[in-house]
Amino acid sequence: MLIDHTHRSWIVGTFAVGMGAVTLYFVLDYFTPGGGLRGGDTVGLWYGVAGSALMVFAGLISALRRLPSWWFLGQRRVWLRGHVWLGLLSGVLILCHSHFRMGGPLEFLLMVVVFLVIGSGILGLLLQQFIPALIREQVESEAPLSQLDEILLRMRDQSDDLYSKAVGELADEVARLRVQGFYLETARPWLSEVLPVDSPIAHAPISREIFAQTAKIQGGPNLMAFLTRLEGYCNERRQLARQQQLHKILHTWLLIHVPLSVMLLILGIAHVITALYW
Amino acid sequence: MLGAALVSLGLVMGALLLDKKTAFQSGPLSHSHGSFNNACAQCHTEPFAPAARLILSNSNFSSVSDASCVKCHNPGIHHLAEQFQPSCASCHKEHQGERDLKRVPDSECLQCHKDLHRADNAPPQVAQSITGFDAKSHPEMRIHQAIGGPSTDPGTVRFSHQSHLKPDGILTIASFLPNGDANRVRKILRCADCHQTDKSGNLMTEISYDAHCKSCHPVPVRLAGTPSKDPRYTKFETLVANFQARPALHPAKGQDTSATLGELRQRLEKLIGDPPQVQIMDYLDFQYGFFNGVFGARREMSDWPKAQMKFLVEQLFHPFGKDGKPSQAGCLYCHTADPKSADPIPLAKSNIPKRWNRHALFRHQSHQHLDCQSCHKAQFSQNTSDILMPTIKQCMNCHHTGSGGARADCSECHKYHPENGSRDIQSGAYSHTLEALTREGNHGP
Repeated sequence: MLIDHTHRSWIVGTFAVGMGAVTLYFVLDYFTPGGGLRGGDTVGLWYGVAGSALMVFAGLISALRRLPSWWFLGQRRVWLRGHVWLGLLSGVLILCHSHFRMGGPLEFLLMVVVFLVIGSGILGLLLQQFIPALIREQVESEAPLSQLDEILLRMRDQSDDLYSKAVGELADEVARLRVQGFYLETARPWLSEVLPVDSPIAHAPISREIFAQTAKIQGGPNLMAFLTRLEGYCNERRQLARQQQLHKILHTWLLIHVPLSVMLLILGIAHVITALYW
Repeated sequence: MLGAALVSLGLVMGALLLDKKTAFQSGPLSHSHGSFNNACAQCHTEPFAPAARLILSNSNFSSVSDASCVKCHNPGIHHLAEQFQPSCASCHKEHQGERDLKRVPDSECLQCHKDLHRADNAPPQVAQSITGFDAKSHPEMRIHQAIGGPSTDPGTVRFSHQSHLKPDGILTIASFLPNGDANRVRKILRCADCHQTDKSGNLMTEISYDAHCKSCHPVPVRLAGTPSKDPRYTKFETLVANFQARPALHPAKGQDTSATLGELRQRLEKLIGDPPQVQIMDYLDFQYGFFNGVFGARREMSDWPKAQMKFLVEQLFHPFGKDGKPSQAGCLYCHTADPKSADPIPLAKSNIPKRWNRHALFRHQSHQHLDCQSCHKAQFSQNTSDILMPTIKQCMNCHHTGSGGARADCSECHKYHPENGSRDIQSGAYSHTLEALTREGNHGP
């Protein structure tokens, strides 16, 4: 999600509420006898309840995507913004609830998980500011990655057709074997879902050179058309590979953010139960 | 995701199954409560009452009841007219690691003391507003507060610190012996020669005559009469000399001067009982019998001690000299006459304060790196009435909240619970402190 001027009200609101909450906490803490507030007293508990509620709200976004037909829950865009900004605000409230200390072992773990969840969320947010632009810049033929297999299949089918026609018109056996070897051993594997390791086509200058050398083979117009189209497919596949790579970077943070959010939920419940019990 | 869930559940369940309840503590327990680390229910006997805390906005709910604390502790009531009794846990906050639980934050004390009002609406016996530890926020010590006149030491024993702390020393009793040299037999006294801390290292032990005065200030006694040179009475004269060589008994703590006189009487009776009774009547009649017309026509052996006792009492207590001026001989060298006293020798009670600052604690041992006279200006004091206790400003020279200052929080000097108070173990209610508090001015230290 791109943070742009449309987030202004969320940013201002979060900042204002966060600052207000912290200021209020410090004021109440100052006027509380006996060393100030604690997580278990009225103020501390309210901060804990509010922080937890915001965290639960932030976590509900994963449930929302499973209920696309529930339109009355509101726009997904609003939920996403709420997830980002209210999730951030929840960390501030939980810090106040904890009286800015790490507490015992469970609370320490809980705080670490809170920091990691928020930290990984911020990392994800930062990546989303730059990676999509990078994809737009580096990948001219950007495609939905969910359709990658289909795209590659079509590329291979069309290449196979063109290859058959091109090879069919080659009279020279040597030239035919060269085209056959190049296509079946080098170019076609490059168009598969799993990219071959150390393929020369992975590097654009080398690929260009290889295609230039292959184009010198004496053949008919079908061969030229085949090589031109094949080079285009290979270049497109290279960009799609780059897109896959950037896409992976764009979403790696979720590998930390989501499991730790689950951990946060379970440890948070354990914290509530044990704190209420004792 | 499933892995994270399993790891989290595993951690929580593992801690529960292995009985590692410390995992769920909000912070480490203090050392003194370390044995309860896995026995939460020892202290947490009450429900957490989250609804009451959240909805009723009452933070005074505590899952640790006072009854849990008084199982082991025996605190006393702070003040009979205290407006409210805070729960133990509201002041002594656990789960904060090695923090000293006795170090209660000032804000707990200031709840009442910044604007003090008694429950019985009587005027407070201490300053109504104390907000901190500086000249503006904290009152001067009561002993320096001139209430109805200048503050003076209530002691009646005449004593000059200045004379005893002369830099070149003070003449000892040996200087006055027949062979003594007044210029040579001097002793330089230090404060610690008389003032020693008690076993706790906090306060000074009481000054006692036997321990601190007797070696230089014995109470000499002399019998009436003139020693005989008749060899027949040599033994008796030796007994008289021995009697006079031994100072009179100084009353111990709790005794009055009858102890002194009783001991002298016993010694006199023993004296006349020891020698052979042969000729003693004649001898006493001649040498020791003619004084003050005590004897009538018929004299008894027992008349002699009575006559000597009268003489001894005059030696020990003779308020006015022959010139009619107040005497400073005998007991009156140090003590003050009190005509109202019912004692055989009417002396004023020494009245040396056992403890000067009743509401403040002081640990001399912690201050032993300081020169005594930097706080107690004893070297300039000539009169008993001088108060040699430091003012609170002197304390504030070191104890202040600025940088490099020694601690200046309330609990540094004050203790909330009286030392002799107690609380009923079963009910947790304060008990049998009334008498103690009344004796101590309705207030803990």
